[in-house]
Amino acid sequence: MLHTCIFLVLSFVVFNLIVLKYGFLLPGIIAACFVFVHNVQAQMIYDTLLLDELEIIAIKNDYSQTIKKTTLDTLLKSDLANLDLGELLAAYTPIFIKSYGRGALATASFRGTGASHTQVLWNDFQINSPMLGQVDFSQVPNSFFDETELYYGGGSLMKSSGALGGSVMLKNTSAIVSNPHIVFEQALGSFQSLATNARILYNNSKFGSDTRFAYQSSENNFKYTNIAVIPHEEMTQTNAAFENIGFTQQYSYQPSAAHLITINSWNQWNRRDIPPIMPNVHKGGDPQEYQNGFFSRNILSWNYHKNNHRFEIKTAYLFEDQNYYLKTTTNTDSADVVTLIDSKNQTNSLITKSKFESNFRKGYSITVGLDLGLERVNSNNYQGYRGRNTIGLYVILLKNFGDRLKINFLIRSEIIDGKFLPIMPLLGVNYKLLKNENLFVRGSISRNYHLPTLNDLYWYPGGNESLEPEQGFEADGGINFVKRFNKVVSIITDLGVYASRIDNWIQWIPSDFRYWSPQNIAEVYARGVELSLHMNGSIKRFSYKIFGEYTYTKTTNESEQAKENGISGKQLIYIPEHTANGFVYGSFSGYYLSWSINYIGERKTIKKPLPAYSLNNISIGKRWFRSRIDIDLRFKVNNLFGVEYQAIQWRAMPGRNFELNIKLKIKKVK
Amino acid sequence: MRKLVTFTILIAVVFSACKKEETKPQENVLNDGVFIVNQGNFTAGNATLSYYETASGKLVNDLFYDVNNVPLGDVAQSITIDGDLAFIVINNSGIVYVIDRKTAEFKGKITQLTSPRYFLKINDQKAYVSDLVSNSISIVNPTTYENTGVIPVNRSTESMVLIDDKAYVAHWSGYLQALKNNKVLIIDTEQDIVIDSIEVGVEPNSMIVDNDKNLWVLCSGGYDNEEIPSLWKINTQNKSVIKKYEFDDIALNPASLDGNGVGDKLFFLNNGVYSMSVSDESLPENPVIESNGKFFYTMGIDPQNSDIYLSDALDYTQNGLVYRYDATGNHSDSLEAGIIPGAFGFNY
Repeated sequence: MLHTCIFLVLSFVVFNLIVLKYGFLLPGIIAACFVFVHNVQAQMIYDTLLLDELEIIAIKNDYSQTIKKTTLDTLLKSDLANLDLGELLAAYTPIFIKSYGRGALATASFRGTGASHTQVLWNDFQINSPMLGQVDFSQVPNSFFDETELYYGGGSLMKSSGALGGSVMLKNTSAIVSNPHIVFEQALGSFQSLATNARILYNNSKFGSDTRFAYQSSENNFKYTNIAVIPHEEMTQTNAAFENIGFTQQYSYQPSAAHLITINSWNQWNRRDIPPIMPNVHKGGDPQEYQNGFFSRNILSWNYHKNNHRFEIKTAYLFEDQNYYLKTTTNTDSADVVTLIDSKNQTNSLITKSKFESNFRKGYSITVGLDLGLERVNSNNYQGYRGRNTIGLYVILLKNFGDRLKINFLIRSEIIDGKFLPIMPLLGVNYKLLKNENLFVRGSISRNYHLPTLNDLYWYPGGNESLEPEQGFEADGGINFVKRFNKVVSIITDLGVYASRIDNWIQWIPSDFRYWSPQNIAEVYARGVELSLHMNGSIKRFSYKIFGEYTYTKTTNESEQAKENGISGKQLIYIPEHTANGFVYGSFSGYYLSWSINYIGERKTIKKPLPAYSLNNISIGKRWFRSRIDIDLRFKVNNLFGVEYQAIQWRAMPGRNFELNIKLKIKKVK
Repeated sequence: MRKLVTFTILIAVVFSACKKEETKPQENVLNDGVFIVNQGNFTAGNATLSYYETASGKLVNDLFYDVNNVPLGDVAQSITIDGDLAFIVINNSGIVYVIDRKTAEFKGKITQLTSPRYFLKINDQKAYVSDLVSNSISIVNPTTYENTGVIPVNRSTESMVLIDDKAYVAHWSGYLQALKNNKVLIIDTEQDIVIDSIEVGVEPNSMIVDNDKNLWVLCSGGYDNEEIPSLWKINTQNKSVIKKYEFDDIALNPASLDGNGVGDKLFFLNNGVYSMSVSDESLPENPVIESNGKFFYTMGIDPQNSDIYLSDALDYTQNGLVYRYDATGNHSDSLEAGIIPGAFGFNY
């Protein structure tokens, strides 16, 4: 009963803090009521498991996939729990994250494609901005999700259309499944950086509540050598502070084994200043550039499961409000403020997804789905309200032929504002090469369409309403080998290759008028190789994990126009041909050490290429496990060798910096 | 074996020494020619300086970086050559770089400018810098590179011309402006105050002075084609309009007015290149150089021989081209310069 009270009080306090600060009254009250009602009757099932969850390196992947899909290791995730998704993906996946600085805009390039070609799905719903088509990965806290999955290239059609490069799926598991606990994590870092994460998970056999809170702020006033001014000068980064605060709430209700009703809500406030690029530090007029935003993403879902059939219906309401300001002051005595840009954008999306899955016969499985979407944008950059209505239908078939061969066929059809898109098919196959070894080959071909963003269509001036969707064809193949030799050594290796062609690739180009306008102009050919090796095992009290990954990406524009301009065959700007990641982790009696290396090869810009760089991060820590509480104390050094580098030209990046992190996990004892 | 290793190392040392000798930067003196200022993309910091030697036809790109080991900055707007120096205005970096016009070596910088556009030297102690957003003209010292004051003008300022002791300053941009952008301000350069203004067409984008000290002002008619584009000939003695030439289509966007060295001939861009005498009573009907589907971005006229330099920014995201023609319109050279070649500085 004591624990019930603690839960009750803490839940209430957290919610009311949020209510007080942000006036987010209604959900707060509802949340508190829910917690109260269910606490009264709760029968706590306390967890006595003292397993260190971080040490479980579960091989969750199904290696006999017809498409390439990977699940991010929970260990890696926990190592970066107080960071953002961009940092996680950059360090441990083949996705190249184009970061404009610490805490600044971070966009993705997956398999050599553009920022809008990587979709981020939160519990199946796309959170890419309908306006820009992209996601700012610096504003997605890792601690808000239980699982992160990557669907490579055309394989993303399994979840949604339009992700020509691939998609990142962020999943929340049902709060009923996990053991109840409270987590509090506090990090202190260089440049006056603070990060707080908290989580309260409570459940009984029928009801679960999972509340998470994340706060992150930094003055971000790091020192760097400005090599764009004469003379080169040691400088402190200015106007780069950021602050993000958010919470998620999940309620799960499982009245019987067959039904599961879930509410997920993710609310977040972001604010950041945008620093000048290195050559612009001497600019007068006290320029101020910043961006504020708020979003609320909410999903209500009902899941019905019986025998070999599953039915699911979910509705999401996504709201986002974003303001961008650029102002300067006149250098007259009155120092008047001149607002150069005050851009206000609001987007509302209402999406419903329903699907039926059935294993109707042994070896057969079918999924049929219907998605309905409405997007509305109110922006001072558009003329009036703009939006888009979508209807999507899909069928996924899977057939196993014996134990070794698997064939997958998928077809998607979409109606966009009343107009049919050509169908998007995927055909995939997986074959187990050897009877007694987990050695698999896979291959797939697919066609996919990416719609123009609403900015492409309606931006004023320049938006082009006659744009065609971008069309992608992809062929993907791979081989993987999984083996547990003994307790000391287990390995997972994967070699993947792909080739994709994207026609009608949209580029903004100068028009005959004095503004830029998007056109279906480029024909991009992207191909590459992805190679990865995981190894782990343990010897008595010592356990280890080693991970290495290399990615080769060649992306070129082969359009007639590119040929005329003499740029065809040349790597697109800001996409590295070579990237590699490495990670070594070892633990002994609660002490642990992890070392990660992230190599980014040379990237082309329009002028001089940006040189390659390697970043090394190292963490050392200790974990204590007690019956009621786990403690994890960690010290981390980022950019260990103080490498001076530019991810984007003339954007300053921090050198060596430090982080101290403490995490408390209070568990319930049976 | 050891001998072989020693020998190999020796050879390597000798060769690397030789190589160093070759690549050692020489005292590069710029012969007569033209600076090409490449704007680069906004907030990308990829502006560059190119140099074209007119006699040899030799082109050097990235000159500023190669000589000074820093980028030119973010959106280079204009270049003004005076005495031994060249003043390059870097708009979005808020800076004016001063270089030696014979070597491109860094000599100094004028900083803390808001959105500088053009540089006009008044005398050894005074120069003006026009500004797109700051509502004032900056007064700087062209010898010490210090900011010495401002002239409040309550509007955006663009191109500037000095005639005797008066500076003529065009109000080009209509963006965020309370006052209509159809004036040329007259500034007393002794007292640094606005003493008068002359009304011209909307959006005066370029000005020159002819051999009779008449001021010529080319107006595009506005961003949204608010009025017919026009060319104005103004008597600066009595501030009266001598003649207003009107173009025949509101959608036209004439720009880049320039003159020959002696000041009796005008050139401007209007898709193609047009040329007229300062005594002509009407606008020329036929171009000297046809555009032939190209979009000429800016133009510069060599003051010595009236060679015409045209830039083509292509798609604005790759190196642009510069075409050289003689005064009668015969093509003589094509060059690949930097991103968005936007201004020319003739260096004699």
